[in-house]
Amino acid sequence: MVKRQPQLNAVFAALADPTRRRIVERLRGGELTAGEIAADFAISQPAISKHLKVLEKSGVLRREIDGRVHRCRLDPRPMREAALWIEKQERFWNAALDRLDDYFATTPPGAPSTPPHQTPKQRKKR
Amino acid sequence: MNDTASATKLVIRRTIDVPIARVFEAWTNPDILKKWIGGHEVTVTNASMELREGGAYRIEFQPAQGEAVVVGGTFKEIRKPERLSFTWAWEEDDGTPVHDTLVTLDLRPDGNRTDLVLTHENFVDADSRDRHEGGWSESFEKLAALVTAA
Repeated sequence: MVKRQPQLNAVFAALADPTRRRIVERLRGGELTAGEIAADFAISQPAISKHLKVLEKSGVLRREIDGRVHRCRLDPRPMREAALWIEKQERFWNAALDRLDDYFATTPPGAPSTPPHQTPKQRKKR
Repeated sequence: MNDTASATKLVIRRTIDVPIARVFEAWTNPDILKKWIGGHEVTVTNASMELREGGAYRIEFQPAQGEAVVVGGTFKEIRKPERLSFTWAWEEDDGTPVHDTLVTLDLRPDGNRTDLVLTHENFVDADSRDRHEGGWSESFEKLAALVTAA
């Protein structure tokens, strides 16, 4: 489950840039050539090319080279993994903060943090 | 750009029914931390920390089923009692931290209660860090939308 996280770094970094997010949004409609993508943006072809490279390296974008035409399309899997990762963190923190509420509800102020009579073994078993 | 960035991180807000000092202590005293941190059905088997800026912490979790998992990182900012920020990385089986992220906890007193804002954001590489975007600037919702549409 944690094995593929190094790629997540690249996915998050790739999507942290607004231009690259707009490229991804453009590609949601389907495959486009690099030229078609570049035509949409008011920046130079080399700059677009660099963005496409970052997206490609992260796995978010797949490129097929057909002679002089570069066809680009999205691979949804890396983004899905990134979304799942964030969703997992969100669940983790919400569950932890629920437990923090429970802890405060059942522990009076000033109570020692490690009561001598309570060991982890006395926790409720399910 | 900063407004966009702050509006688009994983942000969790809560009001907690105890004064700020107790909330801060619950995060910074490992004996208390291990009683609550973690998801449901998870036990903290070990929690240790060196509570100073640059100091390391490490938390070992044992889920009800499956293998133990470890999270660790270092404290970036400690401002008792209102702010705590630390890197956060789940460790690989061999102990290598991967996928560094940053957690920032902001606490604000509200009478005898405390407003808590937890921000969890991804570090990004130098390529986008120099663009002034303040780290992970894609919203979870937006990312989810991209994913479902792709």
